[in-house]
Amino acid sequence: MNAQFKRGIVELCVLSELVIEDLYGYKVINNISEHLDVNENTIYPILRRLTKEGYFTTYLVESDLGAPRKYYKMTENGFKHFLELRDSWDQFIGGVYEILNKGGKKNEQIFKRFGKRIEKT
Amino acid sequence: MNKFLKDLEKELKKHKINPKEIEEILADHKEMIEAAKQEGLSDDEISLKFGDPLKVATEIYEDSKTKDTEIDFNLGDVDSLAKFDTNDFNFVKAFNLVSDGLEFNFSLVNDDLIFSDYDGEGIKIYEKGIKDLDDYEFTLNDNQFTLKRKSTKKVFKVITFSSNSGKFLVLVPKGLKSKSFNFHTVSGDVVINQLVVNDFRLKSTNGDIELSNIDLGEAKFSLVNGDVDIQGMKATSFDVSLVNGDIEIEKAQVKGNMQFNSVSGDVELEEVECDTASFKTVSGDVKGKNFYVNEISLKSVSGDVDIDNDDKSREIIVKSKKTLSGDVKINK
Repeated sequence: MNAQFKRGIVELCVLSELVIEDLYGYKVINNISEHLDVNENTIYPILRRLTKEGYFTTYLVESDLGAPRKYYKMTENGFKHFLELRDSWDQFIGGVYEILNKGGKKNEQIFKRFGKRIEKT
Repeated sequence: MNKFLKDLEKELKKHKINPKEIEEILADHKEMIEAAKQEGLSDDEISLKFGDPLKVATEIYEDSKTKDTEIDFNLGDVDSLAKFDTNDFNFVKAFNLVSDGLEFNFSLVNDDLIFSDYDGEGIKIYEKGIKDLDDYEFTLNDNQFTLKRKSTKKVFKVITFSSNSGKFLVLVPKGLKSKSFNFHTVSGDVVINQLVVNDFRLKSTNGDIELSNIDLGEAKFSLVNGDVDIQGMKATSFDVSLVNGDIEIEKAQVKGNMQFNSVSGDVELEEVECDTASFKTVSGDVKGKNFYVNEISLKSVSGDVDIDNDDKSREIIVKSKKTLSGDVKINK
């Protein structure tokens, strides 16, 4: 997938994770990589940039197990940014699906209807 | 996993990320790796999850680059014109919670102001030689920062009965991006170092103005007598009108137009780049050394424009010239 495009989507996911609750860095990465094939080296720079842009603040929480953990907390600006981004994502992806679904919703269905008109090479 | 951290450090250094940031990024990674270990991930699983440190470094570098063009100067920072030692000042007040988008409003009479950034959180106000702090208002409400002298009655008293004037020092966190900066004074001087703002307005009758490392957006100055000294400026437009004072600008990039209205003050520009410039003067002269502008216009009685650039191939169009005895000389 195009790197720029992927970054935009991951940014939306990072924001979305932090809308729900304050999280420490590794947790954000874990939550996202459970569903998407992205790793730390994509997520961390985004987390850092969004913090620099004032969308998150950070605070430290002592941990029983070791060093204190840095938690990220969404700011009001971050929330606004999330709502905007999510809105444009919904619009975009909605449009994409309207186009894709013109031919049918499932691959088999599309094959049945249009398979014959594809030129064999 | 120490190898990951070492490689990451090496890559960050290679990309010339600043040492303070490197330290922070490494600490973050150490913490995240530790967290992963505590959840029982093996070293192999961790490497898979964390990927290539080179990528972290490049992404952070790319981000810092795009950010830099937004706020920092391609021109490189110049020496600060604000010279102060907080030990010489008395602490007045601090506002701890500040975010970008602030609106600064200063309204002073004869006190000087030093405005600068510092490594810290929040806005800090200091004073030196201010007679009665009760005469002033310091507030931060709804992103509106105000520092002003209170009532006009007292203002008159101060002007007529007291020639003493004090100094305020206002420190804001590094990298703060503000919405507007409004400064109004009668005879106080102002020194500003490091300011990023969308809209800048300065009005003064007598004070001198010294600005360094500033990104002003739309900038408007209206002055009567004071001199202006600017070093290291970015702006989208720049408009100054003054009667008597001189203007010196060194290292500046203005996206749009630079407008100078002066009666007898001279304008000196060095390493300045802008799209268009117009000068209206009576007797003030304009001198440009490496002043790269696409189009200039001059309206003067006796004022001259003299531009001398190293790169003589960059053409400067004289759009209009209305002058009685003044002259426009470009690369001659």
